[in-house]
Amino acid sequence: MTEPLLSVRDIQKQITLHILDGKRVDPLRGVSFDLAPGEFLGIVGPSGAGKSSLIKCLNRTYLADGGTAIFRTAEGSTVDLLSTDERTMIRLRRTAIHYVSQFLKAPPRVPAIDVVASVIVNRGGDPDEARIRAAEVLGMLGIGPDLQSSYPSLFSGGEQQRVNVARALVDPPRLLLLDEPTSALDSENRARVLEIVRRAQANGTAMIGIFHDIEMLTQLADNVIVLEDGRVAQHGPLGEVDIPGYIEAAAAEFA
Amino acid sequence: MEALTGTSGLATEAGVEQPLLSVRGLTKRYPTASGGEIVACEDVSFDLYSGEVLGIVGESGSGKSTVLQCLFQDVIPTSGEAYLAPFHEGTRNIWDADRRERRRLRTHDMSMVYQNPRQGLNLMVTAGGNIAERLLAADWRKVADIRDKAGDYLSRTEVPLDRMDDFPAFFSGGMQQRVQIAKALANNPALVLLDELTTGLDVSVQAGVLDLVRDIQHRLGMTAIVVSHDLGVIRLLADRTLVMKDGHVVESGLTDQILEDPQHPYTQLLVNCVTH
Repeated sequence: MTEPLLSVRDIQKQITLHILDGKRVDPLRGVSFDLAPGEFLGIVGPSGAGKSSLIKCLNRTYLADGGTAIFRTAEGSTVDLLSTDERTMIRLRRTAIHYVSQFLKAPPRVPAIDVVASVIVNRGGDPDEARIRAAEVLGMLGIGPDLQSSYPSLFSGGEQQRVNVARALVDPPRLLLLDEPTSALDSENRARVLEIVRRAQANGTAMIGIFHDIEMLTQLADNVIVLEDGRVAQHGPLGEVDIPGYIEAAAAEFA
Repeated sequence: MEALTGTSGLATEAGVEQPLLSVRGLTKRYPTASGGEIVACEDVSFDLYSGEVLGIVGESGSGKSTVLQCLFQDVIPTSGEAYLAPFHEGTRNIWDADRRERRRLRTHDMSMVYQNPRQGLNLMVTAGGNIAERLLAADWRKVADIRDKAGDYLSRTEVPLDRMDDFPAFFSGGMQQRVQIAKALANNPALVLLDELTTGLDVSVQAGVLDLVRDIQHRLGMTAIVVSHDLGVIRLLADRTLVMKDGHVVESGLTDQILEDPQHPYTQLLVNCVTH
């Protein structure tokens, strides 16, 4: 059996809101799981269950308060994502781990093609080749040459999401953290995203994805975790996990 | 932050990357007329690695500009140590430098872009001449090379070449900042210090200057410290950020973490004051 790509043990996260007189929230109360190389792990749960908090902790956007998340790098060494130094985290974010949120956060006044190409350039790739590759991926997502040279800030929500997805998948890293990256897409575009994500999976990229969209989840996930109240309520292969009714209901709303 | 091993200087663990700059315990106090003391900054420590941009954010009086002024040696600290890789290979405190060494640090190894262009530019000299001055101070000698380089950097900072022989006194604020940036970069210093780069500029002008700095930083891989009270500037430019209040560093971390999961009460307040 291969070693896990990521071993998460007992992640805990508390938030103390000093500006609200020290009000405390506990989004994560001890979450553990393993992720195999190339595995797609879906995370579902009600609003506030801790899904986004979990993947933000893995990306160090949130500081976890306890637990470990041991990540195996391409070179074979291991790093605890929760406690490693900032320098290592910056390097991992550039080369091995990519977080994709719902919303495109790109610097203003950079054309879409360069927003996507920069991922490759930042890893030391050739700028011209990067742009060719970026144009290819954007084209696959229905973003043509006209839009490619425009600023994403002027795009519709769905177009921005597609640029966001292109940026994640133009040069897929070892681990992708996906936080509902298709929430604003119609079914035709979701199908395009599915196609690209599948290719990345086939090339060995592991993914942890939060999808409220049941259809995407069932098409992509190998395993599923149901999070409730900051803890793992269920964890197993897609067909064996009892996807709670409220997920299906929420999915119906978005369809 | 890595601990310094044994003797003072840059950490030298085998196989581990050394910081370009290590600051330890930087403190600056000013005496007041009534015999008291103002603490401009106290016990500031951080490491900075080659190719990184470190942000320092805080409100007026936080001490952030003092940190830069001390590093550039416009002001000499009350106490503290700083080790810079090009200066005696990081084994000597830059604040122990003699006059000649200090001048060399300021002309060859570091540069500063001031909030007020008048502090960073010689307004009695042309735009091109300002850059030439810096290159001459950094021991460039061939006139043809100097003029070429000046033109090159002015065009990189999008200052029209036909203004190269004009006096910056007659330029707009945004253009003056661009000349300052060109000047600060012209001799490829190891470390660039940017103090409130865009404060006082119109929003659209700010945008242009920020894009420029971001682009240059990506292409040249320059190492920089960006001081700003504007979280938007920090978010755009800095990989890591220090938050300062009343002269102290209250929090430090990856920029997106500081903005999305601020830990310290003051940082939470700062982050929640303005949409950014």
